[in-house]
Amino acid sequence: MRPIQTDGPTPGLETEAGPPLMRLLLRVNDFVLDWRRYNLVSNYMAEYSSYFFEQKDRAENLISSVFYELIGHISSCANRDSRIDIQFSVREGWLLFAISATIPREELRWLKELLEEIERGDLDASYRSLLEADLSVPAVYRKMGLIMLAHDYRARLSARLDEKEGMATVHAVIRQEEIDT
Amino acid sequence: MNITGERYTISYDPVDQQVNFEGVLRPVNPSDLERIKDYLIDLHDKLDGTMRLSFRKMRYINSAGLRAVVGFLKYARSSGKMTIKLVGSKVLTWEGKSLSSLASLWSGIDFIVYDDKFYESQGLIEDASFIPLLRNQTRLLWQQEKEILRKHGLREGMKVADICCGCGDVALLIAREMKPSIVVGLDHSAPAIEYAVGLQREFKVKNADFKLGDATALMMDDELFDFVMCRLSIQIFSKPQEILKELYRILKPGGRLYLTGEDYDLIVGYPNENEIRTVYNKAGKYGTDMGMDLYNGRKLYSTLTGMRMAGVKVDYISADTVNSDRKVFAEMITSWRHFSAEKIGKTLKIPPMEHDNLLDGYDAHLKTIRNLLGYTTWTVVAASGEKQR
Repeated sequence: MRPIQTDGPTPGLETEAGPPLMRLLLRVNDFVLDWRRYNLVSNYMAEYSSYFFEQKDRAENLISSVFYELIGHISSCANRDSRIDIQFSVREGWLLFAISATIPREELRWLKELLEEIERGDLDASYRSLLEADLSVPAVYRKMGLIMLAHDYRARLSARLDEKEGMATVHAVIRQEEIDT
Repeated sequence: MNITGERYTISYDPVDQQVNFEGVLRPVNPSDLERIKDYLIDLHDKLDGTMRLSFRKMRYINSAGLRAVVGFLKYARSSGKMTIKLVGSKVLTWEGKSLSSLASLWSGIDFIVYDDKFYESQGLIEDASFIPLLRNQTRLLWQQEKEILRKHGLREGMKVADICCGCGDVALLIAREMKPSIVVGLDHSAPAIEYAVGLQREFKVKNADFKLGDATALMMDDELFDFVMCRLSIQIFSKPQEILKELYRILKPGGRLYLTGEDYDLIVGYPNENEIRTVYNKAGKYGTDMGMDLYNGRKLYSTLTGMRMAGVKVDYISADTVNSDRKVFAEMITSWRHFSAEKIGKTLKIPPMEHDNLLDGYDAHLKTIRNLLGYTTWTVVAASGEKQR
């Protein structure tokens, strides 16, 4: 998939081979009302999915860590009255994460710029300069979750952003071997 | 002084100049981050030399939690006063990603995987090739050990932990034959845990759960189990007290801690008695050189009484060529022969003649086992004590 898509159907993880291994559809407002749900949902997705892997405990730790950042990032900028669609699958040695929600236009643009920055830049340099920057500034620290996933977990991030509908779907794709290393 | 949040505790251990992070550090409140950073800076300013930040018991951290750590690391680097070591565990995936990444991006920050060092001697037995030996040991011991476990208080319905469970076969036998409510098996070897999970599926055992973990930093609540066992494992480690304190912590008051250990002086046989004695004297010494204690069985009573356990019981489990299958016995000794002469011998770089002598000694023992008029024993000491209420 191209890093940023602005046209075509919303890509979930459903394929001809079948539905994703796991999918949750939840209200964004629930996360706003109680932030502990980030932890709860990430751990639930991870624990359920971990049984698909030989290295169950390491898989659980990775999946929860990745979902936490993705759910946290998307739900914090999504419309409160929208729903967040959380999907996970495994295909041909890759772990596939997908998160969709309705997001205000300015947030879509910001997300697009961030993903482009991750895509084109030297990740080591980007991450180092992010860590050296003033992390109390919201425009700086809001980048940290996704850049950390790209840098530390070698996640390939991409998105389908529909400005007309205000819908964003962010995908993170990680090699299964990252569980073992 | 500690600081605690909703799911985390951060404490300071002056003995190692180490800050211990435990639980789940996924804060969303900026005041939490400032508090953590200030706590670390305050400690840093009072110390000299090396400061360790240990994350071995920190199951998760989010990017916000990491920001607090990064904020401190930036302060420490700019002051240039101390060396900072980030201590992680091989068990937690995030640590190998995010902590190692911080260390690789920034000079002056080291990342240490604690269990790589602690399990150095055990590293020899962490690959899948060791599993057939474990299975044969279980075949030789189980019938007797099941009765010993009953005598030492393991009962139906109990919550049981088998720490350093190896390939999980004993935990699964307990689950099937002794009907505890649950047996949690934990080991540091990923191939062993994979094997255990496979056996569990094959036998359709519901009341067992296997986890990859570090026995010196168990991610288990205090006083969780009625019966905690650690079989033939304390002897492998040079610092057994680090495991024992965790076994004690997870045991309920009134529950029993059960340990088994070998004692190479108790391996005897005839004929070839001199060759057998000589080879186990040598193997025991090489074990000691590797940081193991293959005479640890005789010390278990003192270990448990030293921990102030009550009602300490000690028993022998003796497998011999009368009560066991000679073929299984011979397979176990063949595995020991390979392990001792090839794996330990190679690690210790023993001279070729010494290597050959070891092989000859094990071969003499094998002859005794295969001789239908021959007799030999392998004795394991089982000891348990009750945690006082």
